Amino acid sequence: MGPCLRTGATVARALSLMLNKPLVGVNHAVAHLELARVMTKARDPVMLYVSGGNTQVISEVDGRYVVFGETEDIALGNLLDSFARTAGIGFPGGPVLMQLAKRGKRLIELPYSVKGMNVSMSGTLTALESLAGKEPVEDLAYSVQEVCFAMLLEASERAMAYLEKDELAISGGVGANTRLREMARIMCEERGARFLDYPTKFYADNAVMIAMTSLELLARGERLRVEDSTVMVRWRVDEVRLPRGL
Amino acid sequence: MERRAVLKLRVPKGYRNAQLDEALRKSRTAGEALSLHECKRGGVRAPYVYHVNPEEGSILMSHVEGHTMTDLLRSGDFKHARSVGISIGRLHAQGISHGDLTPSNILVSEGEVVLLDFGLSERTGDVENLAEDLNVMVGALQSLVGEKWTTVWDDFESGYLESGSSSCAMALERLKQVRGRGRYRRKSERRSR
Repeated sequence: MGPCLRTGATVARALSLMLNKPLVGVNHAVAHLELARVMTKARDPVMLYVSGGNTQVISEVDGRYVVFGETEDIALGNLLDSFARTAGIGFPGGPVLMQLAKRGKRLIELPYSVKGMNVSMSGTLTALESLAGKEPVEDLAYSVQEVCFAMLLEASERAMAYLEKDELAISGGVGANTRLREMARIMCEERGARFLDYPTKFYADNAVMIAMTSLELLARGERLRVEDSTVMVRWRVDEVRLPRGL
Repeated sequence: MERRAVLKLRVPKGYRNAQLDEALRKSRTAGEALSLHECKRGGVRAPYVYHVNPEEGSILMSHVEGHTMTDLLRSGDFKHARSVGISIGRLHAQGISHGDLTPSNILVSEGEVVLLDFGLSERTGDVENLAEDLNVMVGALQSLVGEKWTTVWDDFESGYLESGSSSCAMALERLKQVRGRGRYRRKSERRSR
């Protein structure tokens, strides 16, 4: 992760100096959540942040995003890509698996592990990889989606009940999966809550979320001097005091 | 003799594949009834099971009057932390993990601690699961009472270790090991950006 971030940071510093524009440091996860919040006009949602590297159930407390539940091992996007590689599907695997899953019919039993608001998915991946080649890939794709998405939505629903919140938003690349969003909508409808959806192209990593969040930070007077700027690989979402006031 | 009872019904979840949903509701209903019963051997208070039907996902159990730990902590009442620790210590000493140990699943009834909602419990004695119970408790305390969580935790921990069981000591050790990860650290130790 470090080298990728350093490459991006070098480009940002160069652009800042070249164009004489202020440099602002943005937390990637916060940018995802801020974009989802602004696009959906959410008041006080529980947010499911699910991407290649993250799987977290988050909500805002006292001006910070707090992680209430998360994966204890691997992220869902990572699981999908790892399985896709084993099954001989290219990277990224998620979109292809979603198409294959539409033709799957049979639910193959896979480990389902929810611990309160946390989930664990490494056992599910191990089981999947041992079944690759032995079961039809369409059924495996269908089963992994049904099992893993249900785990995430159960954890999200528990967070909504525990925090007494009635809005759910999803962000992160796995949110581009329409089955995940369909399940989220059903879960919310059944408990009288609202699922806050927005166009698919804004779920995955995008430049708009970084630009929008940096504008919020800029409005609050945040500036980063080029010589002070650095990458923070382990900068957790709850370490950020949220920018507001756009 | 009149008794108040509660019927807990696990309703099907429309978002979940029907086959998966049915299997989960059955196994959780059966597991919850078993843990509600077994925890009492070690002196843990929990509702009494009158009837259980895993097929329809229902448990009929005794009604318990009381205040949730969540409400007590919100109102600034921290004095039950040690008793809660004793209760969880007794549960863990028997190798039972709760699986969703938030303060809203802990009741104080006439001064006594009563544990609820054993649907995600496991009876394997796995230290990892016991430590996860403690981890959930730490997280919930931090979000409920903020910086004061350490005071509550210290009382909880002294009660928790009172059972003298080696699995409790190991679970606590495991919790401390993983504290290096962001959210186990105290807020004041975190960098603010």
